[in-house]
Amino acid sequence: MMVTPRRVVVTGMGVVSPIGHTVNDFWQAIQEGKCGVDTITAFDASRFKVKLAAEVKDFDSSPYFAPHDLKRNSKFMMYARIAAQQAYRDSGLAESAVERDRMGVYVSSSIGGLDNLEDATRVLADQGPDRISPYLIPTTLVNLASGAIAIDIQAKGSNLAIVTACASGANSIGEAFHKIRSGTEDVILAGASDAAITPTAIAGFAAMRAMHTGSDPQRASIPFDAERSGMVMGEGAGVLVLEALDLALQRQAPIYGEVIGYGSNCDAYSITAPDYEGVTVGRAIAKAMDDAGVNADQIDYINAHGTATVLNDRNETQAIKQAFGDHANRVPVSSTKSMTGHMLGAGGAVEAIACIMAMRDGVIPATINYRVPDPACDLCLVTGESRRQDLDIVLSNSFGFGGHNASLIFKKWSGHAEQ
Amino acid sequence: MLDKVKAMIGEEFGVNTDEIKLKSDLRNDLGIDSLGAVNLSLEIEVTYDIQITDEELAGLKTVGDLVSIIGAKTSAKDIK
Repeated sequence: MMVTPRRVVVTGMGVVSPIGHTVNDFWQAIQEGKCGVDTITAFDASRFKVKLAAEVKDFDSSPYFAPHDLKRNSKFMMYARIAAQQAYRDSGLAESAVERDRMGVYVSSSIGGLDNLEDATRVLADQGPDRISPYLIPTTLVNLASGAIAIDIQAKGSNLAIVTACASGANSIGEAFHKIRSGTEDVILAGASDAAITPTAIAGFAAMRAMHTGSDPQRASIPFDAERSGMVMGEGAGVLVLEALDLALQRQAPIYGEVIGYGSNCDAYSITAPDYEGVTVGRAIAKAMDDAGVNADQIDYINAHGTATVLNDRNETQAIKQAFGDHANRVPVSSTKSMTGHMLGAGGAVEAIACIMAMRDGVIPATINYRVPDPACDLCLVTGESRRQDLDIVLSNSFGFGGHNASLIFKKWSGHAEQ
Repeated sequence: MLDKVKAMIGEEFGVNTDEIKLKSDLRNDLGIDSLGAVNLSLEIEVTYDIQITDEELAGLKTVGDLVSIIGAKTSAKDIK
């Protein structure tokens, strides 16, 4: 049976990030160009080469969780559940008679509950195996954020945790988009959460030489800058409520924007290094444009993966040129990781939210702290301050270790159902 | 000892200690699931320096059962 593809819109959003703990605060900070990078306080980093991170600061979980409930969560689960609660409340779904069997959750993570795992290894060494908490496994598994959110909102549709490292959030949104478009589900809460500012994660990424090791927060997460030298670890979560347009209109839900395209593929080249010259990434972008039925010259802004590693930013530049042709010389590009740091899997989700808000308000976020142009990253970069510009269609890129590439395309909500 | 056990349950599971009675059923009255019961037994083991076996844990149904096993194990330790 042929089913007419349904349009998919965003009807709710939630964020916990280094620069804001709600969508409004996050978006305000993005427009102002606030830098979330600072000295690591989560642990004593004096023996570490890496000194900086973009931590979620001054966070009050009490409006969301009772103290005893917190003990049954790892940090990534807590961020995920809070972002999901924000998005769920925002969407008005709690007051709507939606079919719970057709409401899914695709909230994932790059690394999961590493904080609890680290604590457990200390307990194991110091006190022995009989002192390990029964909550260790259910707070460490990557899929447990999705599982816990389903319990919180009684979502009994498909529940998946799509783990593709730093593309996890984007892949989750993309797969949810296709699932709703095809008619399999009506509503899916999609996104990702990560909380990996922990000693082993920082040491592990540093051992890969993937991290910036300087001490100046204003010159640390500097995507596309010739002096970039690695990523700065961020943390937090982003969750979007994706919903079939017909249902959203029927229940008069707030509509923030539309998801119109998704392209995903794999470099099949290296576990950690991006594909040579960004060829496969370029194809993922092209796939997303094909999926959306748009041409490169219709895209008004690119929210780049832009991690500030030497390789990523160079290869992403080549991929954009390959996919956009001449339009690569005109399309504005920025990386909001200059403000949030690299939130790993959550990055793609909060960047999707930044894209939706950018279209809604007609504002292109800037790559802040950019100073030295790199001839290898000669894109039309928006730097310094955010810029006012009407945006109709925007693209967001995310790539993850393992060669996972995911590109999403969003469209401004026109206010009516006609295309 | 009852007050201490009540405080532990209250903190661990967010239950008002006034509502915790000796006859309170751990699962049905206090909402303590199987993992919660394991975690509570771990805390009790550390607090009272005793061991609770899996078989004993499975037999604990009420707050009174908990208080009894703590009493029995701590006094047995004193005798030793």
